[in-house]
Amino acid sequence: MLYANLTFFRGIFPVLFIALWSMHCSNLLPDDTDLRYQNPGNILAAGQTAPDFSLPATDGSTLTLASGLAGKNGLVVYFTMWCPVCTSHTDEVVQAILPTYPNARYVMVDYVSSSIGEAATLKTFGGYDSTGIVVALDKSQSFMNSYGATMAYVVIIDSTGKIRMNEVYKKQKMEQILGSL
Amino acid sequence: MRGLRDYLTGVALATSVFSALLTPQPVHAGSCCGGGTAGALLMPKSAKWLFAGSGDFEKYNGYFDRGGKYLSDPPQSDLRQYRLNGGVAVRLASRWQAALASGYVFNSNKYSGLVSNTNGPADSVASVTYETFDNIRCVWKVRKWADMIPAVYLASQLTLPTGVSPYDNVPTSFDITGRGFYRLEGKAIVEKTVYPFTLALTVLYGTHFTRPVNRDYSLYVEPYRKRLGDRFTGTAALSYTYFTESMASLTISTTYTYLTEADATINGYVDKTTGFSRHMFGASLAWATPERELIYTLSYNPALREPGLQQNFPATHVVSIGVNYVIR
Repeated sequence: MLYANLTFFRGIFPVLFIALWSMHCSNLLPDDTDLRYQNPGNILAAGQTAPDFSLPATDGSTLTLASGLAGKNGLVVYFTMWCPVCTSHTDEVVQAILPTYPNARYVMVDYVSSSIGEAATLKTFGGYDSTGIVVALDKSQSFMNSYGATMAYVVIIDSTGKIRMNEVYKKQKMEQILGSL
Repeated sequence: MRGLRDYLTGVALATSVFSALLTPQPVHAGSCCGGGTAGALLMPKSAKWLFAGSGDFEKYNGYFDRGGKYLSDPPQSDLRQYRLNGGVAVRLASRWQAALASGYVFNSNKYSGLVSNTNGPADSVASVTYETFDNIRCVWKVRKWADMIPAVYLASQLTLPTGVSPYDNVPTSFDITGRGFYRLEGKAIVEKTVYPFTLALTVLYGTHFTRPVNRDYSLYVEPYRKRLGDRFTGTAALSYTYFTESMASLTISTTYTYLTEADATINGYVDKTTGFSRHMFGASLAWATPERELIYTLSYNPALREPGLQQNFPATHVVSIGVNYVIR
């Protein structure tokens, strides 16, 4: 009986809607402003010189900028945490990109494993042992942070040591850049 | 006798409708893939208001790649998501109702060497539903063809990106609580009760709106435009309702859901790593009090590992408990 006439309370809907809207305004109104340059420490952009690095790899070698580019016209680095998103990207690289652009070297950088042995196990677990992709370990995440990269990011470095791409995985853009190397 | 039947009809309708609601929601629940969208609410015919609250526990158990191959998570992984959902539905007119539902998500993840505990609002859903019928369509016995006419609901629902998405300040996909896209969906529910059984079929088709993105996993990037693929969901639920002497009811349901989403596009180019599909099976219980004011619900959806059952989507166990308060 208390609720016999709740017509008035129907007004709760626009109130709730407005409340949700105001609480999450930034999410509800996606921004298309380019804010990269207002956050200069954020990321190493295309055109900048790639900093050198030294990472242990699952094949027993030490991966550096020079060794990664040796004999190749480009180095493609993918930052993986072995999650389904990363697996989906890597599978596409193995199936569609790697065979088309064999003159580039592909490296997966594992930034979550605690040892090179664990990284090797995860590489085997993912079924990438026979793909020719090298897995390097960035245990301290210093390499990833120095490039301003994060999960599922792709860094493409050309043979002159210039960064050509540093952003989340985009096949079409990768192909454009790899085709131009 | 007629009064009793009307009463039973009302009870059964209430429970059967909620049983249908207990079908596995078209929730992109995996935190790896999109947080905890609240499910749209649906009221019984005779109700003026509905207040709903529920809690979900989701435990990840590996995932399926794009080829439908099941892959276990790395050793010592422990991925969990807890969700609190709330919503309200109101009758606007004899055949019209509207609802708004949202929630809050807690992620608790240990994956390989990564440990994270994050929380945030879920995406929200606003919906408007049209009931194509005036009288309750539940029968005790089929005596004529007209008794076979089902209850049909037509609805439109809009998912609001109130959650925290990969395009916000989160470092990994395990930390998100929403997908970040508006989605407009059309829905049809066809439901028929011939006591004690109810069969409910639900189809849902939705399209995402294109949005600008200037941030990926917390880092600002060159702005681009992204649109998730269209989504189809089909659900079949078969329920059995048992009435106690006090006229409380217990409804047991089994459900099957097929969910598929096409690949996303980035600046107009198809991103073939994003589409997914999944077949889901579930079971649920709904207990309605004799007064039909309170309906308690419990549902379970197992993480099945059979090859081909899913594509590009995590396998998860989901347990959900809820309570619905109906005002007539």
